[in-house]
Amino acid sequence: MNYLKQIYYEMRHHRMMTWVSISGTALAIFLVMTFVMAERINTVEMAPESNRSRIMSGTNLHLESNTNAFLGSTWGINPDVVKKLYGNLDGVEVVSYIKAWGDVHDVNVKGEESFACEALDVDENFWKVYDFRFIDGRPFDEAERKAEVKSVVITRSTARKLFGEEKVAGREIEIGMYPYTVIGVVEDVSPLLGNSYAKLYRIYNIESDKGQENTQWFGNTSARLLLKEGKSPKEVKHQVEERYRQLSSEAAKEGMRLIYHGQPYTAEDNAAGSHGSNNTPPTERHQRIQWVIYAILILVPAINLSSMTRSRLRHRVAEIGVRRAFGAKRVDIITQLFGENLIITFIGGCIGLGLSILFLIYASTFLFSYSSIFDSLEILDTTPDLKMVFSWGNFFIALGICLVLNILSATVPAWRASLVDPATALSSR
Amino acid sequence: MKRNLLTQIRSEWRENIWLVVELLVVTAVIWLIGILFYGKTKNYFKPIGYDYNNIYTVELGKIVAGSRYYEGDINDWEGWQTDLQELIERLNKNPHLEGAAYYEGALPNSNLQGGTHIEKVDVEDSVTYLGRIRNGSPELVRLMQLESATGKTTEQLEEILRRGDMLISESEDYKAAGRNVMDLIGTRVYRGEGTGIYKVGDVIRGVRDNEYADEWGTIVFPMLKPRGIFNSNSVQVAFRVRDGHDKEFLKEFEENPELRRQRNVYLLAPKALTDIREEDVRETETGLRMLGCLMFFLLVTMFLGLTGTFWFRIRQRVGEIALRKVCGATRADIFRRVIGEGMILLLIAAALMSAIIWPMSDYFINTFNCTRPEMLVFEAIAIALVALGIVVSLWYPARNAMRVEPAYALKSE
Repeated sequence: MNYLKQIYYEMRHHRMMTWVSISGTALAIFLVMTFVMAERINTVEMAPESNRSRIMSGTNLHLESNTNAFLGSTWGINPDVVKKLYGNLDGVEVVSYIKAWGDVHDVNVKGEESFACEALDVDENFWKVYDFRFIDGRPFDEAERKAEVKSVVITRSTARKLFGEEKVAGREIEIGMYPYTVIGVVEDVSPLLGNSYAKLYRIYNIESDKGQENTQWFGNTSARLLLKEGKSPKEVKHQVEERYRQLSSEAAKEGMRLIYHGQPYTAEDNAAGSHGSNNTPPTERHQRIQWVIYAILILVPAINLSSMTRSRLRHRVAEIGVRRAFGAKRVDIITQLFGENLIITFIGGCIGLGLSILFLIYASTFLFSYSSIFDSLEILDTTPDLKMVFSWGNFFIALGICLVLNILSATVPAWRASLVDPATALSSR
Repeated sequence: MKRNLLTQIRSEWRENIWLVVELLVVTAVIWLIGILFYGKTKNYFKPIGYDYNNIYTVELGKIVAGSRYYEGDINDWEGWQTDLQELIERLNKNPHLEGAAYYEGALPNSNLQGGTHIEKVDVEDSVTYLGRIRNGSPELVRLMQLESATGKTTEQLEEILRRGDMLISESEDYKAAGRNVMDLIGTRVYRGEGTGIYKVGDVIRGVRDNEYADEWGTIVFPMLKPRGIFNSNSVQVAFRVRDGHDKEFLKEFEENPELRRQRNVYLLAPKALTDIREEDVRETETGLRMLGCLMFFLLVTMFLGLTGTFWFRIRQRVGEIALRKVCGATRADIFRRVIGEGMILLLIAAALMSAIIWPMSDYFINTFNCTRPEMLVFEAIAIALVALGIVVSLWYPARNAMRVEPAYALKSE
């Protein structure tokens, strides 16, 4: 208790410096945690992407001429090719084939005004890869997909907008002037979960899709893979790379080659920024840059705090001398100084963490943009909610950063202060 | 005086070494941010070659069997093409519109984006022209308000496309390779053996996707028929509304099925190109704001660190400052001494930074696409900014030092 009192008096005595130290630490933690949490939003696991670390996406095909370097194209994948690339892979629990891009359709209840809705065309396995919560009805199954039944799953907010209520399974709507039956209603999906977000989900039947005309390579399909527990994405990538090699030798007969760009992509690959469909995601480079940013954001305040602690301790040489003369051990001096600093760092850390959560919830679009299949200002303006931003993992990361900051800024000054010889310290007074 | 200052800095080397490291890191990062910022924004004030205001883009929808609107037996390419052309004709006659066109990849953020090279058919030339493909119907000229570089009118440019010739833009790369793009006017070009042959009809001002995009050649291929319709959503429609007619036209477009539907082809809800442009540049702009915030944060952190460190230092040096005053030092001398200490530390940091970055200048030039003079300018700016930060952060401790009363400070001695 005395110990805490002493720290309190010390902080009150150097009021300005206490505020400088706390605000410096808070600013550092605010910025580091803002970056860390914004990055984690791209990989956060929450419904319907609760298995995000096990989900990979196989998208785009890049074909280049062997003879003319200027002739090359990238596009969605032909249905037959997508099966050859992503079907029956070791370590994959479920494969879902979906239409490669989302569409925006006019949707209405017959005779009512229509409004634009983002739609994904998916197969029955999509509901196994992603864990949507159905609040009414059910997903469509294999038989319905094969029969190309005009059924659709809509989200809670779409149901409300169309019918003014949520339990609407079995009711009829028009999508693009065509009648569909609502087969299920699911919870809304955050636009920040870019691979599963849509407002309605229609049936996509890969078997009836002929792909693009005049080419056996391109089409409208992409794949979503759910890996088995414990399987590494790298193993799956190796298998797909090998399949690319085999298909490329087939393409060589037409004077073309397939360029492999690290598919299928993980959530980390998707988070590495827009890289275009004919480039490999710069995942490692992106992560290296992130680490450099974190290091700078921690290092600069650590140097500051260290300099300030050192200057402050020179001011307290006499006090340390008296303590040592009265029997305090070196370890006691180190522990006390370390503890004082930790309290300041912890107070600053809590303020910084709180500010970063508020910033991300209310203003993250000022600094960050998140990727989605759909492009719209509404999606780009979406900010994450508390569930996405705050997790105990993030709290412990902040705590860890506080500790690192504390160790970096207090260890050397505390150790040097403990070396003070009591006689010298007291004689200087 | 200066020598004394250096001796004092040396005697406190343990603390100063960390301050130098901090100033080095902050100056280097600010320099790097400056270079990155400049690299991303240097094209901002250059013309983008077209006017994106008042343009709306629309995707095409296909009515299929089973819909109450379906008109049977016309689901073939030719039928769809005729219907789309009919819709475009109706839009072009609408008094609220300046023009409407169908296109493939011509506008930013279109579904189909790509580049190509073109080479002369009749003359062998190792230099090829590289550009972004912008396919469209002839009305694309008035839709985008493309400008001729040779003084031709909008109608003349449209006429060139209508007769099946193509338009290309001025190109820095082509010029750098020692060729004049004007020499291509009237020549026959193609994309390589086995591809279609076109005649270059005129040279237009280059079109960039947005204000931040690099300049690249523009190749407008004429699309006299909307081929590829409903094939992977590549064909889209766009129209330009007359100034101030937005609301009236959008209302009419929503309510009048004649404008939106022709047999089994219909137009979806229009989307403003200004919104598409904003979506397009959002990532770049958030990135720029992030760089600005990082720079601001580093300056604030440095400010807090220097203020804190020098605050304690000056409190420790009260006796020394009092002695200096007794020996005749003025308040200004004391102020200069404190600020001078910070500046000397910055000079050491700047020298160290130069010793690190200049031997690696080739790497920076290649990575950030800058020149040596630009590197030098941004180094000077970074040092000046940090110097300003030092003056601001040391002002308060220096002011306290100036106010030390010699008699009061020395009474214990």
